[in-house]
Amino acid sequence: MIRLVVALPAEAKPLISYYRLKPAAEARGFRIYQKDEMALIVSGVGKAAAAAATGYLQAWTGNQPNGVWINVGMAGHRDLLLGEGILAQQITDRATGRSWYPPPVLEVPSPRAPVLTVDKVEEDFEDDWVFEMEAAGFYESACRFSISELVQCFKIISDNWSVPPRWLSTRQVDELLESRFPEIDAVVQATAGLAAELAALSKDHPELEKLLDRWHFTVSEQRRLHRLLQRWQALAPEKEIFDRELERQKTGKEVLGAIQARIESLPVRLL
Amino acid sequence: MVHTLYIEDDVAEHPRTKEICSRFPAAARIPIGRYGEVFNRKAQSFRLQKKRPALILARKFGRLVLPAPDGYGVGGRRNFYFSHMLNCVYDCRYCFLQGMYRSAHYVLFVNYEDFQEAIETKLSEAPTKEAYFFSGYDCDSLALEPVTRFLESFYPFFAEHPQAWLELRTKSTQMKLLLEAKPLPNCIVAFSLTPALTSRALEHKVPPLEQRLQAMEAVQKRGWNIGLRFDPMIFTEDYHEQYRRLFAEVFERLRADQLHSVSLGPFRLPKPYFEEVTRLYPEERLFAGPMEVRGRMVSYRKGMEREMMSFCIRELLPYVREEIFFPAELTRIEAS
Repeated sequence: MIRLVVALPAEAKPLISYYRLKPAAEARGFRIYQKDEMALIVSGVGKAAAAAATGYLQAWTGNQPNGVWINVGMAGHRDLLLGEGILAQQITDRATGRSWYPPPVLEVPSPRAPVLTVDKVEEDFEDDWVFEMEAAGFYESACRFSISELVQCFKIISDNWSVPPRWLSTRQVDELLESRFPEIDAVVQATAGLAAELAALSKDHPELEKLLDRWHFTVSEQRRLHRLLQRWQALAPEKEIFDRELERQKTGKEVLGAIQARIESLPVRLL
Repeated sequence: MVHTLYIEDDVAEHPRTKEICSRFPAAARIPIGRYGEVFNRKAQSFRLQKKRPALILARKFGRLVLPAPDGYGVGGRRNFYFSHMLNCVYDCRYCFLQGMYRSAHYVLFVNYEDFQEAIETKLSEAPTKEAYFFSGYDCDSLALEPVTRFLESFYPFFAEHPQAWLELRTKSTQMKLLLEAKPLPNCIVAFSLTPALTSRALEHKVPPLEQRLQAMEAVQKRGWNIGLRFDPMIFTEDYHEQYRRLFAEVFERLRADQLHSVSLGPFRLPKPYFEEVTRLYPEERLFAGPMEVRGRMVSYRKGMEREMMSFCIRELLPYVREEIFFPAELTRIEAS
């Protein structure tokens, strides 16, 4: 699942259009748009709103762990050019001083910069920070539901020293976002690729359900079954485990013993 | 190639930090307070980070030199280890590091001078006695030498302290300094070895065995003490043939009579680390093999382990003098 968190309707609109998302009528408290395996939530301004929206979206989309989380939004910087896009390499909450460091695992062309989450619109642009208002709340919340490699912040510069913060028109937001769609999508796809890699590893064995339907296993026996099936999958992925001999077993415990004995007899070839 | 450097504020001005930064001018530089802020964070994927690890430059505090684990020694009575670096450029699937650390980023403690001071303190506790200092416990001692300049820094130190032995443990072919410098009589260049097919299957990014044999041969010819570390032993259906071939290849290239030490050890991981690595790599055939939990460790079934050890000992003894041979004691392993 790919989850996008944006602060404002004007930021959401181009993304909704680009990814062809549809409104989710049943959402309450936040506006959510969805299509297939992507959902976008409009959080409102500020880190508390972003944190709340992130938590809400996690629950609303089925509470599956290790999904992709991307926060997209406008930001200011002292001298980066308008429209430039950056990936956060560090997110610091100015109010608390706490920092997070999104692991730099994505191989994407976007430059990286440190992001400072502030509580009100910044006009002084000190140091080399990219100033915005949601990332810290979003990131801390999203990392409760996913691993940090799958949580990213992409910011587009909408104001700098020569063009101070002001309310942007919808058209201006559209233009800024559209100019960065290829980069945003590159981040989305790269992160989704990593998530897919992890998801493939935690996929259940194709015969697990059949085994669970046929015999009763206690919770700890299910854990053991899961591990045995992983081992089977690693050593003999082409062989089916459910056969007449296994069917003769009466209890889950006997099934585990039979599977274990079979695994022990499999040759161990590393290549 | 390092794309990202996390740099503790405390070492931002350290000469080693500046030198490493100048080596990677295009790398992002991110200041941090302490390396744990990045390295010890929860909700990280060691597996994903291994694709593109960052380099963290930090200062090591506290106990810089620690007693070596039981059975780690090669003949010395006083054995210690020190870790100037955490994590390894290689990606060996049996390695305990992937189970122990949350992050795959490399941490380099740039304050080598503090490590050297700690070694001197250890030596002063028993100034007439030899002591062994193992440097490749949490990393490969030489693989990143062009960046870390670890040996470049510690070579003169150990040259001045002849009663202190340094073991370098490596799978790399980074032998440049060893081939240029005068061999130190109190330094062991120890190579970790597994059969070629096992290496291809499990030791990702490690140079092929043939290249490493060439490096070993060159270093031994130069006059360095060579150690062979057949550790961990990895079971395959044809392990007899694999290990026989490995031993033959090694002893065809090296002078057995000039070796410093040969050690042999079985595969074992602490149970929590084993659980972590199987979570990270559920598809790995190594972990699907005939393992069991004994005490706090996961290893091959006892009978199988004994058989492998006995076999390899029998195969090695024709090549290796008993007095330099250090096979792991099975009773000690079983007790752990």
